[in-house]
Amino acid sequence: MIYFDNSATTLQKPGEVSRAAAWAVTHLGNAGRSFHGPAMDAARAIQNARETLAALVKATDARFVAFTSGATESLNLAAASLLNPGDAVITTVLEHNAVLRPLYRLGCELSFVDCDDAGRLCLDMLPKLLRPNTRCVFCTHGSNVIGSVSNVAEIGNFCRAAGISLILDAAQTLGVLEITANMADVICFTGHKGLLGPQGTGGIIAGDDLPFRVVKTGGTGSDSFAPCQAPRMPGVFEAGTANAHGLCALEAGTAFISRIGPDAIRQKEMALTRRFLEGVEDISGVRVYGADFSGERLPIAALNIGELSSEEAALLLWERYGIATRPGIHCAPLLHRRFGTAGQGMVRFSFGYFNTPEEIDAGVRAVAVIAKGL
Amino acid sequence: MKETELVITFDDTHDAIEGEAALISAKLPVKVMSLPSSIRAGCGLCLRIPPNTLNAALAALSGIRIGDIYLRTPGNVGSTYDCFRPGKEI
Repeated sequence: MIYFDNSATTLQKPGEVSRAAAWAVTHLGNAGRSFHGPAMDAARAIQNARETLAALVKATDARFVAFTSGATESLNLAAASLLNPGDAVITTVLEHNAVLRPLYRLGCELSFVDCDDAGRLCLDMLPKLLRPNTRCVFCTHGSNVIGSVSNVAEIGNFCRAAGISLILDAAQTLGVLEITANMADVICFTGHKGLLGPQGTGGIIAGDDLPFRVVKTGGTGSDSFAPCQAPRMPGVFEAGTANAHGLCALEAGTAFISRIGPDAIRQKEMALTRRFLEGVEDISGVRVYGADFSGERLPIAALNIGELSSEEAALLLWERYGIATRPGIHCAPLLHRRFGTAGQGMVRFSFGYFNTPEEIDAGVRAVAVIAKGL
Repeated sequence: MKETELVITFDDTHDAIEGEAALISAKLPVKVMSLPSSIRAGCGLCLRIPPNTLNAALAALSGIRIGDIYLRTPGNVGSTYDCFRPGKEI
C-alpha cells in the first residue's frame, strides 16, 4: 500500500507514538480526579503534552494550550464561546465544513473572501467586507483540498487595524508549517495529522485576553459546588475526562517533530510534492488545481483525470495500484463550487514525512496509465 | 507525633500541576492530596509542604497563581485546617 492520504490522517507515525499510547492505556488514571499515583501521572502527562505543544508554537505559557477531541470540536467551541447570533464574520471560500457549519449554526452574518485559480486568497477584498458588527476573521490557515496557504501575517494586520479577532483553523498546518501562538488570537488544531499523534486529540491555542464564555461544562474534578468552571484557559474548554492516553501519544508525536525540526520536515514534504506535481503536470488529460509554489504551500496535490469522476479515479488507484487517496468534496463545498468541481470532485494526494520518492514515482506512473486508458 | 504541614491551594488543576513541577524542580519536598472538603478553592488538588520550606516554596512558585495556604494539623480523628497567609511566621 502507498499511503497518500496524510491530510485526512497521518498513518505512518513514529514508533514512540504507539508506544506512548500503549503505556498510557495501562498506567494512567483520571487526571484531576484524585491525588493517587495513576491520577497524578495522568495530570502530569497532560501537562507535559501542554508544555511540548506550547514550546512548538512558542507560547509564553503552557496554560494557553487547551485540549479537545480535535479541530472540529475546537472550531465549534471557539465559535460558540466568542460569537453571538447576528455577529458578522469574515471567512473564505477555502473553508472546511468544520468552520462553515458552526458559523451557519450560530446564525452569523457571513461574508466570503474569494481566491484566485491558484487558491490564493484575494485579501484585497477584506476592507470591503468589514461591517460595524464584524467580530472576527475566521479562516483556514491552509486549504485541505488544494494545499494553498493563507497569508496570515496580512490577515492579522488587517484584524489588528480593524480591532477584530483572528480565529485560525490550523487543522492542516500545525506540525507542517511554522506556527507561532501570536499569529492569531485563537488557533484551532488537530493532533492526528501533521503532529503525528492519534485521532481524538487536538486543541485550542489562545491567550487569556479574549472574553471566552464557557460553552462546554461538566465534571472537572474541581470546585464542584460552582455551577460551571471558570472561563479561564485552559479549563474553559476542558470538561469531562481528558484523553490522557491520546495526549500522551500526541506529546510523543509533537516531540518527534520538534526533534527532527519543522524546517526539515517541510523541506522533505515539499520535495515530494514538487516531484509529484512535476510528474503529473504534462500527462495528457490530467488537470491539476492550485499547483502554486510561489509562496508557502501544503504537501497536497489535487487533480482530475479527464472527465473521470474523482471517486472512480480513486477507486482505480486503490484497487489496481494500492494507492490510498481521497476523492470527492473533502468537506469544502465552497472551494469546489469556486473551481467548478462540485460534480466531479477532485482526487487529493496528500504526502507526509514518511513517504518516499519511489512512492511518488509509482503514484505518477499510476496516474499516467489511468489517463492513457481513458 | 504527627507533623504539621502547609497546604497550598490553587485556582485550577493546571496551576497545581505546574506548582508541583516547580517545587520538584527546586528540589523541595512536596506531596499531593485532594482538597479537603472544609476548604474552598478552584482546584480539587492541593500541595503539601513542610512548614519550614515555605519561603523557598513561595520563591519556587513565583509566577504561578496560588490560593490560600492552610496549616494542616493532624489529630486523632482527621485533621484541622487553619487559614495561614503567605509570609506569616509559623
